[in-house]
Amino acid sequence: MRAPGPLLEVEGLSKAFGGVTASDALSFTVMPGEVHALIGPNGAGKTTAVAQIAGELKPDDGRIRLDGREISHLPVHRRALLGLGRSFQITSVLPDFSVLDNVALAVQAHAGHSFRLIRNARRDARLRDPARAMLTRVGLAAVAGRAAGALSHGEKRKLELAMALAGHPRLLLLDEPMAGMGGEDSARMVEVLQGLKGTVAMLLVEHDMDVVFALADRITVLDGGRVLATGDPEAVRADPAVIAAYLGEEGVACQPC
Amino acid sequence: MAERAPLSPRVRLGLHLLGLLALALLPPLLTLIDEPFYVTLATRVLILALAAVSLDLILGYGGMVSFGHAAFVGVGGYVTGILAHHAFMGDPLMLFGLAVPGMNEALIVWPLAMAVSAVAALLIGVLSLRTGGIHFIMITLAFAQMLYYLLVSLQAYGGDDGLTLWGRNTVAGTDLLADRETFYYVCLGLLAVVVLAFRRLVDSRFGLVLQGARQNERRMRALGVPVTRYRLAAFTLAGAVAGLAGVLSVNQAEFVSPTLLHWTHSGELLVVVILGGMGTLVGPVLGAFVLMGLEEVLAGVTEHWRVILGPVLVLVVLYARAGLHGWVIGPRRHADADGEGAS
Amino acid sequence: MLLFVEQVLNGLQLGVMLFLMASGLTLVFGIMGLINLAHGSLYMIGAYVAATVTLHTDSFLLGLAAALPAAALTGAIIERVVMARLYAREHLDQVLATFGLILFFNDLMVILWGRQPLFMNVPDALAGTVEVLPGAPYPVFRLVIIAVGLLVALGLWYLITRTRLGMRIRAGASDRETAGALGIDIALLYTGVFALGAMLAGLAGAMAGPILAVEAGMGESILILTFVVVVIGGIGSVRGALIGALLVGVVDTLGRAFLPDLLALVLDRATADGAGTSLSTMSVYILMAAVLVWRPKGLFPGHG
Repeated sequence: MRAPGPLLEVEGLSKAFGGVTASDALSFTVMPGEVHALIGPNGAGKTTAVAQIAGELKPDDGRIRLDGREISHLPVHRRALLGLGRSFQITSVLPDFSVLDNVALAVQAHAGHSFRLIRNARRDARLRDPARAMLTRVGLAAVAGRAAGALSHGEKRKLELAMALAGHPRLLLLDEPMAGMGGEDSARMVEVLQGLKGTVAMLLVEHDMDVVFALADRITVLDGGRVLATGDPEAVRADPAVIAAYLGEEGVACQPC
Repeated sequence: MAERAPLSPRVRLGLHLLGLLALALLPPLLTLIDEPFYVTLATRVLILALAAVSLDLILGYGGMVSFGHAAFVGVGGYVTGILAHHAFMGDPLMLFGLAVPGMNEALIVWPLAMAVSAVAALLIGVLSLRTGGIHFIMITLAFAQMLYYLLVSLQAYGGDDGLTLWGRNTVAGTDLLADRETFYYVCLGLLAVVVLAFRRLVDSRFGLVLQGARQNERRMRALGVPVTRYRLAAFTLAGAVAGLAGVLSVNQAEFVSPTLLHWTHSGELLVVVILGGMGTLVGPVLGAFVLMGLEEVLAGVTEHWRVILGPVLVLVVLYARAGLHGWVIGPRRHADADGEGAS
Repeated sequence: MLLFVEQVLNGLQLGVMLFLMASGLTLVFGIMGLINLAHGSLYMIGAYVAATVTLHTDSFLLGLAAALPAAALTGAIIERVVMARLYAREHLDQVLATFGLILFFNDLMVILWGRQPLFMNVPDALAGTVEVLPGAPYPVFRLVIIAVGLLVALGLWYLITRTRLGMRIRAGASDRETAGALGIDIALLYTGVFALGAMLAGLAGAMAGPILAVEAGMGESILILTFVVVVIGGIGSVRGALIGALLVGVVDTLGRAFLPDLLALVLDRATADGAGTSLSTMSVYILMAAVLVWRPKGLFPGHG
């Protein structure tokens, strides 16, 4: 067994689009079980960083390791199978399928290959039971039979989380999980995520500072594609560079701090 | 045409069985009213339907807009034609230094033709599926056209003019297929088997992955699904079944020419699927009947019937996108939570 | 060597024809997101109108002068009546509707002109040959086609990168809403771009008249080659259309001319002829496959 090192190591990640540097020698780590928030003003390169970690975007330079294993060159689906769960900034579900189908497919994706051509997968208890359990966990059991496209925005967000969790990920990549949610939904989502804390590590991109300070064990602040500061919430809040570049300027600093 | 509420699964199943029964009773009925010619026409419709159903698997469920599906029909047809040609001439087909004897035996030729079509689909699929969307449409069309020109250039097999067969394939040495009605029932049986098998397939794990990838490819990848290989498998399978349609078509006409894989036939297959209702498997069968019927009727009115069919097509696309299946039987099936609605 | 030069010129001539087709197709796709199978029909209409007017007036210039507006007008009409309703639709719908248009136009031509192909002569003024190299005469008319094609390429480049209209086109391509907010009449702009593409297709058709038989269905073989060009060049890119078109034109022509002889160096004559003919019909598709493996989105992906 390895000594308990970081679960995710990002090292020297760089990406430029034309002349614009979106990631500039980015380095940070996520420890097992940790909730690590990635914050920064718009255009700081948060989403670009997540896309590179998930494998949708190829970095120009740098390395990404999951549990010590280099994953920089693996395609998206291989990374997912190694334990990267994902929710998208813009909700991303399978709209024509039922809510239960959506989660059952997530279970199926992690249950080996899908070259099974005959048996009706919608009646397969090995897929349906864990999927139902997951829906209960996120509070969607009541709408299991509805088409996913017909859900409310908040419900879709929960469904995305359920799909990500169904694969028993080791690291959840959450790109603005509260985006577009009302206050009540948002609070409920924070509860759900708090309940998950400790069981799964999370890399959380979020604008709402209430949420960040409620959940994060550590925070990395990005600005212009660089890491401005990393540390526990208290330290980051007190960091003069952060206050100057981000919290102060945007006027968000005043809220819980 | 307004969409109706979906019918209950029971009623649907009933309707489908009724349709099958009607198709089974068609030949004796036509003989009764002394129009046996129409058995031949109906056979051609069934063969067209078979090709269209195979396209529906990748188009309606897989979201792959292939504009080259007739190529696989043609490959299957040519395998049949070329082997029959060599059997007739008595010289073996030389293939990479390997002598393949000509033959007419359906039990060997048909699976072989399907396999060759599958290989063609696999190769074209590997290249085409590197891209998506509009690229995919143009590339499948281009590769199909490549095969078309290749066959036109094969002077040994008649080039442009094609090959005439000396009778249909034999089944275990008997000339069972020579009889018009028997051949009709063989086509009907194969079509029914394929529709039922695909029906199961689309509800299997494989089928759900295929449909999931149509709805949201990015999500499927993020879930850990290597989308392309499932698409490729479906594309290959559809190619094999299209090849079978080609085999039947050549047996029916006792003739094969490059026209079989002309690009307008690929377009026609798309039309059949859309007209009938895509993603329904049964819809394309309806679509085949309607399109062929429409062609028959219009051709009776004017020699230039396409001048009418073309605008009809435009109107269907603009105003009746749910297809006949959606109009008659209700919109495409939404996933019921536990799949009780399989029909 | 002389034969080689001649064949390269033939390739260039096919290439610029393909460019005239591909530029319109790729502009319409890049800006409106529309795949238009009926682009070949506009080529056919250009050819028919040019041939008919030329046969009646004995003036190719008048034929050309009639063909261009005829194609542009037809383009504008089908854009307003059909295409405008398809922009927001899936590509599948666009394919089917424009497939319907092809069926319509092909049979319409047969009704109007009959099944007999029309043949037109090369205009007298351009009927001769010039020596491009000592001892290598080449038809003037084909040289003129090459020149016209290259001029159109230059004109398009100027239009798109250097004019206000080009700026609007690019704005419309990158962001419909912003363009609307800038006070650009999107509907009019789209009709204009479509008509421009139609006119270029009509130009190609008119110039093809003296070289090929003018008949119903003539648009489709060039349409599919045009797709190959667009896939190779990168969808939406006019520069890619030019490079792709010249590449396809030259590869296709040289393949047909020399592949059988080349294969005869390693195979016996009969086999080489057979295989060479087959291979040469496939050469541009093999080229396309190679580009796809190397660069799935074409040589010049995106706009430009």
